[in-house]
Amino acid sequence: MRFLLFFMYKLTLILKYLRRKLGPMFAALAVMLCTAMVIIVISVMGGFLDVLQTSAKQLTGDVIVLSRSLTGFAYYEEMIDQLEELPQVDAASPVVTALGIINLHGQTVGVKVIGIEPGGFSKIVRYEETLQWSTQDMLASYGLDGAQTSPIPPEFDLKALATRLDPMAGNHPAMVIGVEVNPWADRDSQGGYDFSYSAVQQQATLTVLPLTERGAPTELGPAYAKAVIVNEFKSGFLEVDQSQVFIRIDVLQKMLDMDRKESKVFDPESGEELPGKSVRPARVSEVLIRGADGYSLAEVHTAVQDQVDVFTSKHPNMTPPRVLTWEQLYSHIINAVKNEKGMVTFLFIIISLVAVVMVATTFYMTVLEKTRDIGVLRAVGASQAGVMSLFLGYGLAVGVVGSLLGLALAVSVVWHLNEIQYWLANHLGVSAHYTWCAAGGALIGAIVGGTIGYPKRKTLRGAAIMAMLLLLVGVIGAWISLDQVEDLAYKLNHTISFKMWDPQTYFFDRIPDKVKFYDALFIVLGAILSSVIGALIPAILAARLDPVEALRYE
Amino acid sequence: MGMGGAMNDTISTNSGSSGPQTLDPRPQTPGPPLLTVTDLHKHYHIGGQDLHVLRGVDITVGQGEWVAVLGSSGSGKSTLLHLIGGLDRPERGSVTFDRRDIFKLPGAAIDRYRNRHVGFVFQSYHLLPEMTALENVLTGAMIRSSILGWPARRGEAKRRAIELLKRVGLGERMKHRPSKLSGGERQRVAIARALVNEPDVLLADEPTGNLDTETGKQIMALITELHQQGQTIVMVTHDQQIAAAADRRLWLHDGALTEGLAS
Repeated sequence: MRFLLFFMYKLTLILKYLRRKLGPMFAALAVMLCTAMVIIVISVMGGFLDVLQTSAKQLTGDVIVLSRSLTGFAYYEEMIDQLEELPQVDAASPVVTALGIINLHGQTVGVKVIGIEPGGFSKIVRYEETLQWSTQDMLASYGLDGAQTSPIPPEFDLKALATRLDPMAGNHPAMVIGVEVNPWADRDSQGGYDFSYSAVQQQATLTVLPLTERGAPTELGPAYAKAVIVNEFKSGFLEVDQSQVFIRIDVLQKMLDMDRKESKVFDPESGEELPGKSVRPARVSEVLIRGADGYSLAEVHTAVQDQVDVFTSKHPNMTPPRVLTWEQLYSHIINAVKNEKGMVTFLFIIISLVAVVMVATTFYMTVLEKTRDIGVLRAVGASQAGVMSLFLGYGLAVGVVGSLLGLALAVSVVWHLNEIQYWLANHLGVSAHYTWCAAGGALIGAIVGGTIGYPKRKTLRGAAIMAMLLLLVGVIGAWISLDQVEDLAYKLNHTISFKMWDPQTYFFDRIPDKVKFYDALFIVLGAILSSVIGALIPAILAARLDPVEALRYE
Repeated sequence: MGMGGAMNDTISTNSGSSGPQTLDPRPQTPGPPLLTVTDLHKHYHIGGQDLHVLRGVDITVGQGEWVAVLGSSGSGKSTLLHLIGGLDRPERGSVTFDRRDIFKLPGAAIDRYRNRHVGFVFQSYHLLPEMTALENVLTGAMIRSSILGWPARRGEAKRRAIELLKRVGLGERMKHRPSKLSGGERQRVAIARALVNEPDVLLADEPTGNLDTETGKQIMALITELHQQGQTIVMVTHDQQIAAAADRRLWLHDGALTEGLAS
């Protein structure tokens, strides 16, 4: 209540000081810039992290059951049936992975071959969303559009073909490759790809090395298959997009000798064929799992782990596979970015302490400047606590104003970061050129107009003529400059443009441009608190001033 | 107004002082005692020297009385006023208001005393430069009110502030900041500010010290008018002409008070 008792005059003073003093405005400006800086950094770094995490999750689902061996594990159908009965599991799908080589256009590239069941796989990962090319792209590359050629024959619907991994033509299996697996892939300045350089419709040779269950190369040696590329995918995860290819699981199992095999049984002593057949179950490398709605990742992981433990206990010859969440699987990349984000944020927060010092300095100067006013306030009944809270309130006001303006600035910058970077990269030099041309034209106009108009400048009419001449010559000068030497603008842009983000270098097309509410809220509150802390020592000094000395202060 | 305690002797002087002539020790219009200063001592340590500025000052100020304290520059007049107003603390002695020694009150109660029972008028006006005349006058009222109480009190306080500004002849200059006012106008605003909470005693420290003769007369006329309306005033000044308007004149010399009679 005592605090409230002094609120009114403090509010009035605070509002007046903020409006009429330059010092607090500079302090608020420092708070604004620091707030904006930290929000921008956290938003961009957090955005990168989000893109990475989204991409990683998109590739694996929620939880993955992973073989400890390249030769995979058996009885996966049974495992999937049991997993899909769990309430925590929405869907599960088998995957075979193998290291391989593809030969495309005479170029040989090492890849990770992923064998998938297209239907089941799409239930778990957003595979379809990563497909890069549509039939419209293909038609456009031929100078056609969809309206002229509809209906599009199903065998040329690139997305449908890729989703089902149906062969495009002939009997060769379909294959979908990462956009950067294609050795001819070329990105434009905006980070986009041109269909003309894609590998779609191209035939590739895939080579994998089948292994025995013990992990040795089989006697058959490397397996080869021809495949037709029906689409390319872009997950946003560079490591994946430059190394992975998708093919149907049955094709890959067969190539790797991981498919189900039945063989006759012979008596080892007599050599006679026995009734019945020996069955070697098919094997897979991984089972991908999507968690059911309403369950956390940890709950899904625990449920799957428990079920896999039960499953392996029933198959004693089976090496227990690992059960990982998508976060654990990609932790090496995600944690690196997380650490980087944390470190950069920490550094910027340290830099932002300058705002605290700025507020402290400004307020200390204000206390000195307002010493006599403090004495007056004490004389009319303000308490020490009242004077102290006046300056703390003042710091609070500077913090609120500065941080909210900083938030507005940060949001504006982050939301338009891509446009800003595009302008800096493409128009900085052009704009500078236009500005210089206009200024040069105006200067020439001023010199010529002034020279011509000089003899008549003493009369009103003479001054008007001179002004008209200035304007006319200025406009002509600017027009000539702009029109005749426009190519200079582009040369200049090449020299002084600033490309802070090169989509050809980085794998994301766009700089992340989202501000997270809670991040922003945390930073704004931190800035306000910093500002109040900055005001604390000056506030204590102000409160401890002897009122009589303060009244005598010169 | 009217917080006085039991009736005491209206005047008491330090008999050991060697001040100017001592005349009739009784005031012309004695009222019940409002404020009693007893054996007040104040030291300052300046430049390694110990200055004993007040050496056992005693005064009793009656309700509605106008007491002028005269003295040369540096005699301790302002110090005495600051002590009476609770702005400073003595080494010894008491200032009794409403039967309580203000120096034995907790800090918040002294602040309340300054806010509600005392009004200061300074030689250098001491207005807050960022505020208009009206806002300066309202400062004391704002300090007095809580944020919850202010909406209810605001209208009344503002009416009183406007009335006071009109009374001191600044009805047309209420929205002017101090920098746009003359010295006399600033002092009128300061007087209005001192009166906004209807204080029991007005403490005026050389109220005409920074003003020309004509403006000083106007300010004195205003103070006289306030006194005639019953305002208790303690004024310090070095100017005997100014002090002549007071009911009593006390001389502060060598840290002690001696009595003088109003003309």
